[in-house]
Amino acid sequence: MINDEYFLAALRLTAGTDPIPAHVSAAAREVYGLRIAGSVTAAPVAESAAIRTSSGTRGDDGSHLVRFVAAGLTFDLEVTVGDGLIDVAGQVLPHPGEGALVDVRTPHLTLTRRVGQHGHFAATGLPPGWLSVVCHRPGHAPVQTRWVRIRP
Amino acid sequence: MSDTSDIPVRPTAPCPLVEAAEAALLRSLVDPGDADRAARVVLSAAGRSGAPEAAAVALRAMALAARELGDLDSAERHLRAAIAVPGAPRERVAQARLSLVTVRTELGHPLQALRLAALAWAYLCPLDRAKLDTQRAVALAHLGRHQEAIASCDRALRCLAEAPGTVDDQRFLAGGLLNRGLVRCCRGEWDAAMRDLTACLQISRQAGLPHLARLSAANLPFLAVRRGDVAGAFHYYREAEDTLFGYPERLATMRADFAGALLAAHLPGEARAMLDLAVPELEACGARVALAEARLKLAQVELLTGDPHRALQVGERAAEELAAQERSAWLPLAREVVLRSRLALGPVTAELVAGLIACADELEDGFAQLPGAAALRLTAAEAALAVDDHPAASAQLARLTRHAAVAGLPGEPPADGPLAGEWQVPAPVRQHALALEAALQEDVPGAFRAVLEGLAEVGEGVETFDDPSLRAHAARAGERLAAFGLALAVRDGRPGDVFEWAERWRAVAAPAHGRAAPDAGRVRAELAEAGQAALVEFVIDGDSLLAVLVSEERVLLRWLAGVRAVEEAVVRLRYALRRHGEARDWLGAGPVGAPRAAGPVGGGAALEAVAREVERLLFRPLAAELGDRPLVLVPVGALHTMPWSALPFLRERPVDVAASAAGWSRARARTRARRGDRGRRPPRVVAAAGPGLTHAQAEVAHVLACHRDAREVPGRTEPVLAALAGADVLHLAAHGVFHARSPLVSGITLHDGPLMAYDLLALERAPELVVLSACNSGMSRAPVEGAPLGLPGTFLAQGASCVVAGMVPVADEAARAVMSAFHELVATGQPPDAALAAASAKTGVYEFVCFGAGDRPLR
Repeated sequence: MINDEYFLAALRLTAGTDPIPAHVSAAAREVYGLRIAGSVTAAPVAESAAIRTSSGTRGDDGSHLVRFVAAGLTFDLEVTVGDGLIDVAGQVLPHPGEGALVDVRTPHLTLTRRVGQHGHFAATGLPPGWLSVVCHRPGHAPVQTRWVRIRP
Repeated sequence: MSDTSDIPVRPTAPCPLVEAAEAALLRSLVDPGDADRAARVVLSAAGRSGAPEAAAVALRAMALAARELGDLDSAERHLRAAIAVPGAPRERVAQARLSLVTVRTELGHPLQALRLAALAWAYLCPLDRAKLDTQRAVALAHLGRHQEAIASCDRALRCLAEAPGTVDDQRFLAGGLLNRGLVRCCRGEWDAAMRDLTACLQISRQAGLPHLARLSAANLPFLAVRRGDVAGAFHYYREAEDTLFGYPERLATMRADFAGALLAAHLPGEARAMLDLAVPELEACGARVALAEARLKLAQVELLTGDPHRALQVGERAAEELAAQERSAWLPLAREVVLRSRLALGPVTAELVAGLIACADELEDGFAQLPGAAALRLTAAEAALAVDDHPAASAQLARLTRHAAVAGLPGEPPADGPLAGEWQVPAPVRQHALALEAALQEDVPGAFRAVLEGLAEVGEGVETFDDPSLRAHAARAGERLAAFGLALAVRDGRPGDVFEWAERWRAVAAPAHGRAAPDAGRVRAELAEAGQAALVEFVIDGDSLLAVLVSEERVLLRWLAGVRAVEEAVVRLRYALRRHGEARDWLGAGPVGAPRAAGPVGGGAALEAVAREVERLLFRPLAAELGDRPLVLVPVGALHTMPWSALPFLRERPVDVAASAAGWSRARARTRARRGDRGRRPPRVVAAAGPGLTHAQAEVAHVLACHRDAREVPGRTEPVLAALAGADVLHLAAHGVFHARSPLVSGITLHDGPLMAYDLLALERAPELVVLSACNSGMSRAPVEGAPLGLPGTFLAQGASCVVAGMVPVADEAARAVMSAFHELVATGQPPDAALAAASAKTGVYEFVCFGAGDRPLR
């Protein structure tokens, strides 16, 4: 479709001539529901090869490591794909403080985990697909990683 | 499924233009692009010279070429134009309708296709009618009318076999065989299907019809999986992928079919990967029949891989599409996914229970879905119990158990006729229903008996396979039944019973020679002999992890923790251990054994904290009983990936990890027998180094120096496999790769490629002690308990007594350090498990674990 056609379609929609299809509204509501008000978004800064400092290990286990940074926090997120489902392990550094929580999220599922003594957290048995992690710190704005897509 | 296209034949052509059009028609199957160009030239010439017959044939050639290229809408348009050519002979119009039968079927209108076939019938010669019959069969099969489809093919093939035998008759003969083979696939007649497809392949090769040969080859991956040959299926798949390049619709259909077979073989991860490729391609080329089926499979896969939300959405969409295509035989399958997704998302309601029961009834009415109907009925009964609707639950269970007495005769209807199909209820479902009925009446011995009989039948099914992954997947049929038996034992709270049920279940999938009944008495005697050791068998009951502790003195049962909490703790520990390993700088660390923490993520403190937490979950309730005894651990579920040596509670303690108590006992018996055979001769040690490592060669040199009878073999697969026949000890220092999806493809990287677990299946004998000084070489995945798939399990199944292997990535230098210490201790007479514990403690390298029975010194 050319841009004019998009424009006309948009005009028709806003004029209320055509109803918005139900699945479009539903998808929009779902996406809006995933939004976290006032949060800071952490962008990915490095992948496995750059983060893994050790040069001489004897193999590879197919895990994937991504580092995100924002608002003074570093998230290391390691994803392991099993047969169908995925496991997520990671660490928030420096430690986000007593009472900090981490939400590991897929579009339909949020698993809330307490951040361990050394900033560690894990969640298992998630469906592959889109994934994001949010760190809630008492007294600070939440920090969320960008959504990353994990393929099975 | 890919079916043949129809190519018409007229033995004589009256005019040159018609002849040219016929030539294009024949070419459409071999080189559709070229055929399309030729047909267009004929069409315009026919238009100029007013030759309606040539125009109709040319349009039909264009249609068949378009169909070969995956453009079904154009194919239909050309055929409708051919039918509408003014003055075209009736026979030509009928032939165009004949082709339209196939296209309308593929576009999702099999009923209309059958009406078209009826219209065409009157004007076709007997040979063309036979050809029409091969195409009607496809429409009938899509409607689930398999019996009629086969009859249609049979009729056609009889006629075609007596045809003059021109290339074109051969073409239809091969096509008819292909279509009949595919219908037989749908009916589960795998051997008959293989015969038809092989015959098709042979005829099409002899007649020089490479495209038809490819189509038949494209169905081989699917058929291979259904016959139980997963490794062969992937081989066929790669071949078909190459040969179907450039035919996106056929390639996508092949992938979707293959995915369906993978799904049935309990390989949802592999199936999902195929469907992720196939569904968008089928959407793009508008193959609506294949798309609806692929979407249904995708929904099933998503439910299996833990995403009921997506499964619900995709399943509802598949149901809409199937309904629009009037495919009533398929609709209940889509409804089943939707209902099971809603059940997974909860809560259970009376309305949902009613829906499940109605859907099971519908599935039962469709002849082909009887096993699925029975499984869903059992689910409905359990759901009814969840909302306290006992009458509904009992009614459903009664339907599953009514004909239990004649259930042992698969394939034979009961004497009073094939009523409602109860005689086809699969054994695990029937026995589960019997057990549930007995338990509801508080008849616990009756319930145990029903479970036991069911597991025995599952075990017989497992015996028909040799491949360990297929055995494991066949055993999965008994998983829920075994869980029910275990839950009953746990509810009664008798530790001995729980141990017996945990071992019984592990024995179903265990290697064939290890199926003896569990014997706690013998295990206790052996534990006493093995230095007053204790055995901890982990079991999962619902959401709980429990442990049965067995020692010479007693058998105890303890609740440990929630399964989720343990799984997450294991994942956290593996993460911490990996990051710790990366941060440990061996080259700059001075003396071995003094690793220093480096960087923000390293640090032994973090690892220590996580390890303590795991230990608290798994061992605190047992610690007093265990003291400092040597241990035998029998893992369950996620514990198969547990780096046990990293737990402070287990450090400096000999630990053997086994698939079952019976498996540990067998490994010990093998050690005794081997030791007797060898007499006083020192063990023969063979070592090899793989490529790309700085310290592997030095490690091999050190290993050789430790032992008296030791030699190095080249680090290539053939010499290493050959050396296994005579070696008592094998040591490999190399890279290791673990594949969670296909654990038997996991291997050790040698100079000429990986030495995979699959390569070991043909071994006549294995060394007594196998040391895999490589990353992740100890990792396993256990689709069912009792048969973990991976390198240690494979070596042990082939006759090794003890395997030492890594559970996480290991730094090259760290591996050299711990392995050098290990062999020094083994050479001085330490048993392998104690030597590993001491070497790990000395070097601070806790990545390795001892599998099997390592409690006896090598000499």
